[in-house]
Amino acid sequence: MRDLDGRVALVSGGGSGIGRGIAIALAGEGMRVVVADIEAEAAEAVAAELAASGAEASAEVVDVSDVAAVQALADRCDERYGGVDVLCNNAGVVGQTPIGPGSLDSWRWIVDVNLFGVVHAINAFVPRMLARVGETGGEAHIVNTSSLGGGLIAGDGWEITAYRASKFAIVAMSRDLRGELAGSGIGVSVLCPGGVETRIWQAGRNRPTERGGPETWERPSRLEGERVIGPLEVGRRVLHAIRENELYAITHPERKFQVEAGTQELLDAFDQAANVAV
Amino acid sequence: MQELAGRVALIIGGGGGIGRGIALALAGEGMRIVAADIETDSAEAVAAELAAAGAEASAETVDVSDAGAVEALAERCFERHGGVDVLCNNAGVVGPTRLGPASLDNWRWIVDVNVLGVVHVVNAFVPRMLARVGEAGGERGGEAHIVTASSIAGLIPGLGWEISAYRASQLAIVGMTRDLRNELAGSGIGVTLLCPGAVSTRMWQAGRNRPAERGGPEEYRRPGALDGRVIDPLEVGRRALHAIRENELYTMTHPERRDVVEAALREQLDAFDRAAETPV
Repeated sequence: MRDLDGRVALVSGGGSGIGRGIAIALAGEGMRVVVADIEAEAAEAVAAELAASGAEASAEVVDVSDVAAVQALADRCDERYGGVDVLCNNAGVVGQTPIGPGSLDSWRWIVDVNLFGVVHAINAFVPRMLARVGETGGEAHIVNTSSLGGGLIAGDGWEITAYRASKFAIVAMSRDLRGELAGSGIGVSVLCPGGVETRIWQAGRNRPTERGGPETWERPSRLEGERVIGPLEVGRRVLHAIRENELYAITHPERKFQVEAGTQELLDAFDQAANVAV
Repeated sequence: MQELAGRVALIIGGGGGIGRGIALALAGEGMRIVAADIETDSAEAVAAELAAAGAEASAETVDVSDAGAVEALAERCFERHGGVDVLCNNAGVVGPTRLGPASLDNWRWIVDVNVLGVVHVVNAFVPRMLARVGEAGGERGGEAHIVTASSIAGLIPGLGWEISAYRASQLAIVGMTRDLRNELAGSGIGVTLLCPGAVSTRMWQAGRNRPAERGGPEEYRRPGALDGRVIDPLEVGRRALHAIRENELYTMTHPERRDVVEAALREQLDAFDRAAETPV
């Protein structure tokens, strides 16, 4: 998608971190940016930041795990902005899910936000985007935020497996959606960032009451030492992916070897099966 | 895990298809089989088939999407059979999830069974299996094994959205199983992900068990013919047995599908090269 100036971008989880980086990059191209977040103040602060730099921006509150709230957001975007041209499904959370029944609340919360948040947004927005693209003959784009860990990198254990499993699911969904929308004028990318300076490890502040309420934990220390980049760089990478309709938007190319190792394990299993008759 | 005779295998989704194939293969090694299924009749039929062949087998009813039911199953298995040595997570469903809000019931149902079903089983059984392996120490080898069934569907390129809930759940299971294997490394519990291609099963009729709160039973015709060679569940069972013996990480049943999987994974790797070449 080349023509961004004056078009509408919706960024969920836009109130901080990667979402803010994407919002700034897209506003820099003249896009009208709708910053949606579960935290109203955060969304408003980013919208104000964009407006102060001369962009057209507004804030919306949404809990993506609430299907009705996502539908209502799609309705408001239609009414107020005439629709959405670039949809960034970026809201996501992480929490710990050690083995044992005690982790089920966090499992449900993480799957509801990370996986169903994307499902709700795709169900609510894509039919409208298809209609809009059909009428105008134009282009549109969808970016789903996954993680480098969505690229078949083995985890050390089960501690953040709900997060990782949800990010794997987003990779599969993005590939399928891209196939579904091929030729429609709507491109699809999946963002697979490595370490980024964000508040994702404090996502537990927004864990809802019915899933146990707010929770704090320290991010696993093993993540220390990885290269951490700024959200603005991620935003520029997303902009590039939208322009070029790239399936995978990669921010940490130096970590290819990890995905390669995961890939090799899978391919080796095919060779093994070929060599062993049962 | 080499010593199987006399040990206990629980096969969830054991009332037909791949689960029945695994049950037959493990019973053939002298394992005591618990066939658990959401369909009581199916579980009992497989248990009866095994018993008629001279194996020790029993049936249990479980809906894996119900955390309480899975916890209760774990309690019963450890009470009645003294524990579980081989756990096969094989319950899974497929259904259509076309674009639009109407598909949400199927999304919920498929994720509840395929993803959270595995979570419930891991949460209920792994702590108990770890305790059992720890107690057994060297005497009985202190070994156990977990096989989770996925599908190569999560690994091949996406063509469309129609069964995306199924495919997304299968790729999620790949990540979960990979993590579980590392979590349990050195514990004596091996972990395998079974990735079958097309198998002659009733999976495409899974909608018969869609619960009332997700819209009730649904008929679904699979989109087109199954891709490639369709194999018998008994062959998949023998693959699973081999995987348990050799503690394989991934177990494939259709080696000829390597190329299509490699192409999909290659696309992902190429993106790293492109990113390296285009700084932003």
